[in-house]
Amino acid sequence: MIRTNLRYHAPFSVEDACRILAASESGAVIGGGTVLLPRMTRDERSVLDAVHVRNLGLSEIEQAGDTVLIGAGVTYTEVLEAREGLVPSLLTTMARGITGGAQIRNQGTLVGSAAYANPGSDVPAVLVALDTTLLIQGTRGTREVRAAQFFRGPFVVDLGPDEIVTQLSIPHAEGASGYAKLKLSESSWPIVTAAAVAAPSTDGGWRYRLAIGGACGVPIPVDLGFLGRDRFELDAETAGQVRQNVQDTLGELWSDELAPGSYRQQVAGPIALKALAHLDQEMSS
Amino acid sequence: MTLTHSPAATANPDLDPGQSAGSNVEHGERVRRKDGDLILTGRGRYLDDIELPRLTHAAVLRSPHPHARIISVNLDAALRMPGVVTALSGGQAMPLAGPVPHYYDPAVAGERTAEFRCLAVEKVLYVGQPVAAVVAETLHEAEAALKFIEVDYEVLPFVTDELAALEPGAPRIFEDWDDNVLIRSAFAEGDTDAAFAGAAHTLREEIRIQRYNTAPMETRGYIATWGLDGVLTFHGSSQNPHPLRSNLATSLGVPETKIRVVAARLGGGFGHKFHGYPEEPLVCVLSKIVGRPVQWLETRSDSMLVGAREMVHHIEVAFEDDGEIVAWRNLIHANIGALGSMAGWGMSFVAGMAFPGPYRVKNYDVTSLAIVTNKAPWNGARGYGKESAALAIERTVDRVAQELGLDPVQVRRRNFIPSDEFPYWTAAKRLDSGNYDGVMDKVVELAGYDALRLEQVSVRGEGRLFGVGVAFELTPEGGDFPGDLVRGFDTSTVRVDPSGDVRVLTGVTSPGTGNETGIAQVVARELGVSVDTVTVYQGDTDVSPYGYGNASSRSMNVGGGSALLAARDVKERLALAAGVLMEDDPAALTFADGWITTTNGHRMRFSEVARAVFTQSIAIPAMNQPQLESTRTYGPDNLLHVPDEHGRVSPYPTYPNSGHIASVEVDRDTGVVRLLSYAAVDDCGTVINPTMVEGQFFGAIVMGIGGALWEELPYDNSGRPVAGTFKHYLMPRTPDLPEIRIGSQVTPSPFTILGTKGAGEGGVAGAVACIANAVNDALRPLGVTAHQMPLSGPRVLEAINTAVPL
Repeated sequence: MIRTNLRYHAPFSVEDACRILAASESGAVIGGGTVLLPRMTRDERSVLDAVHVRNLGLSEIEQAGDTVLIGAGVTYTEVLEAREGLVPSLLTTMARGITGGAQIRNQGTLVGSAAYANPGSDVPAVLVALDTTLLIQGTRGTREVRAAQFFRGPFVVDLGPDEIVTQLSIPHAEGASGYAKLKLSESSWPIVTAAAVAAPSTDGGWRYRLAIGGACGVPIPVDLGFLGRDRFELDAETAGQVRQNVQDTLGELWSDELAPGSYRQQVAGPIALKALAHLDQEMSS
Repeated sequence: MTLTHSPAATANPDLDPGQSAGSNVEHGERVRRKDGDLILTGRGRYLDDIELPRLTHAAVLRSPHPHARIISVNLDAALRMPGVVTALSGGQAMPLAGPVPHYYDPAVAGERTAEFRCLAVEKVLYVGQPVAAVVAETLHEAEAALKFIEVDYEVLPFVTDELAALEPGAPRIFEDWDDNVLIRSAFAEGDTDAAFAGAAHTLREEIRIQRYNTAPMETRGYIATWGLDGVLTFHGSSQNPHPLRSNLATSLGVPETKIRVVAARLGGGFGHKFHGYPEEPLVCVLSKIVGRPVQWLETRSDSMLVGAREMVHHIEVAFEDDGEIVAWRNLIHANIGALGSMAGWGMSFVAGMAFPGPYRVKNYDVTSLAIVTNKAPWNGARGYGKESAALAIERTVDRVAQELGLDPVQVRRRNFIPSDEFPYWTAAKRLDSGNYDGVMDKVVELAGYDALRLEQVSVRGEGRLFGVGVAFELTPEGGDFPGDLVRGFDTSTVRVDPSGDVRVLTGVTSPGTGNETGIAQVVARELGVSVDTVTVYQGDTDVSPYGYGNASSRSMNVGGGSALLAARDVKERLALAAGVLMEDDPAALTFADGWITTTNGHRMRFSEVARAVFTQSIAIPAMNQPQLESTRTYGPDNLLHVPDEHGRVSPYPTYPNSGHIASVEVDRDTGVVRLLSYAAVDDCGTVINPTMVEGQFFGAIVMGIGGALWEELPYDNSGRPVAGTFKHYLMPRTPDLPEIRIGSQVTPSPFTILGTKGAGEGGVAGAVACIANAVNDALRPLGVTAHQMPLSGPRVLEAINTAVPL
């Protein structure tokens, strides 16, 4: 049961939302509420002012030049139902794999998941791999933060108490993608995720990006520079190098009740290779 | 997941079904569950659906420390919070409620015991122990006030590891004990040392089963209301309402006649809703104080405090070249937490008693130590220690096969108790009947075992880790433990109304399994009426005869058995009346399809005869039966508490069994286990309703799979439980499971009136052992074993990492 005298707000402007948050002793933004509400019910989070994004006009997926803008209210289902080509395939692949049933897919939002920054969730590594920029608005104006900098630590993000992530801005330069995650069972949080992207470069080649989630407290971009700009072949040598680069890149490991950091470290390489195998398959097709 | 059933029921030709199936009627009809539509359409009312006027809500403040002395409790600030009606500390509760009576007091078995209050008074022994309570107008207000209760603790050293708890200098959980061992249960036959000395082979293993419980969909809850007449009405999600009533009377110092317990419809029991919890008398005390109804509902994290099953088997086995097992030696360390008044500690006894399983092993020496620690206490959990025993037994049988290069099915067949040796005695069991080879034949066929082994050769050839698991489960059921209110018999009343409708009032309860439908079937068949005209009343202590509720798959054995006897009495009276009315020999009448028919074809409706009994029995003197009601008590014949000439007793009367075969693939890179196929065949004696039995068997198998692979309630180094939600405690979901194929064999018990042995619990133990064997079979090419359950990805990868590179 929620133990505070919770005030619920559904303002009609982002400015009002930020003012409410700024004035609150303990405010929180509700995207879909799939994480926040259970946490409040379990007394894991004490909130006095809950600000819902539903009236803020942030439930759209829009094309804006070379980027796609995804509003803070956009759910996984809306990503899945977006017209073909509007959102990067990596996002749809990721959204398709969200478990928890229709309740979670219909209610949960990408921005909400990003703001929660659970190391064991799907969204953070995907945003890093897509080189996403988070558009943030607060009482002192707006700012932009790249995903790789947004995630500061487990459940910690670069977001002030009066700020809201209004949109995700994703460069629409994805040529192909691959995604893999390891779960212990269907109901498990992902233990390790790997998101791989091949973006066409202006010189006609490819720029490869890989991000690992779940192994550390924040998603970790992995250097794939050794692949060059040509179409890569996932042979034993390449696989070995990928494994090595993953191991070299991982910092402080993340442990929780489902798996110790040592396990996440060991499986990160194989999961990365699965993501690259999917990428390879998509590039081939 | 797909569930399929193989209609393979056949009776054991070696046994005379007529000896046991005393009802002389056919069984096995797939009658629709009586309340199934109600539940499926969301109209079933559970505890939280009960609406009482002026209901208040209780919240419980729990200890944040695994071991601490309570210096003071200050409720002042909490009492000033909005909506708060009252607050209570342990010291204040002391004069209002005595110790919570044990579900089964270890003192009755001549062992140590301890007292537990509804709120801790001097010390807390585990994180989560109730320390204080608040009652408020709303649950929100009650919970919000908890953080304003000030408790001053003196933190004490604690111990959560069972081996550390055995060390001489370990923190003492109970200061008046000289160590942390509650009970040493020993089970032995033959000359184990000599058998080990003379055996061709021996091997030793350490097998650990983790702390986990049953996670019923509906958590616990209680509502207490004191009437103006001084009568306490207690609505509870409880499996044992009558014993709970008795214990509330003891704790509260109230005449038992002044207490009515109503067991609400249960959304799962599994032992989690055995009584003995501190919140039971607590809500009664709180309701007395506030003069209004008080409700307490268990949160999911509260329910995950309750432990079970955590044991380590230090096991040795001695065997010959042909696979004959000649001896077992096992030392079990059970980490039962801080004891409590619930039913959990008994699992350590049963884990030892269950040896040597279904095998004809004449030498064994098993000792089980129940060790107290600063973890939360156990309560019962489906399997009740038998899953732990099955895991240890079946893993070592597989290890024997592995050592000898024999097929594990073959080794089991080599050691099974032959069908013609039943009843078969062990140190603490007289096994009723069985055809274990028959069950094994069926499951081998159902699983396509030979094809699985061929597939294994092929898949292993690709370097993949493919395993086939075999396990056999023997499940002692229906236990009777003298000295406390855990009994192996029960009582039912059968009452026919003037309309011809039939009421059955029984002391057994349903945890949601549908046993009321089975009991109605037994009575309906005996009386020759439709099941629809039979209504079964359970769970209200003011309505049903005193009974022992639901536990240990006992409901059909004793609820069905006693109802059958009572129905026979009523039938006899109806026959007498019908004989007079139709001028025929009562013994020659036929009861079927709602009619009572004479040998010459005359017939009257069942309802007509019933009405005649009520309206004409004095007018027609020969009838002389003015009432259609009987109450009978029944218990199986195989409950043996007086030691025989060898000192043997048998507290469990029936022994259903099942065979299991599964295949898995282990991901070499991650250790994650993928379950590929599952087949199982059970033999629970006579089957009253196959649909119900199959449902229970499927559920038990899935529960066993969950425990084998994922479910766990770990503690951190600070003595705190870390699993509080289903994102920490991983339950199986449909995509985790393969098609589950089940079959059945019927070998009636010669000791129960219906030939039943009990269904509901069986399947958990076999599944735990089967999955463990399958995973270890998959790991065989690496030369490693994984004996720390659950076999989650990290655990299995840890085992893989120990492999010596080729």
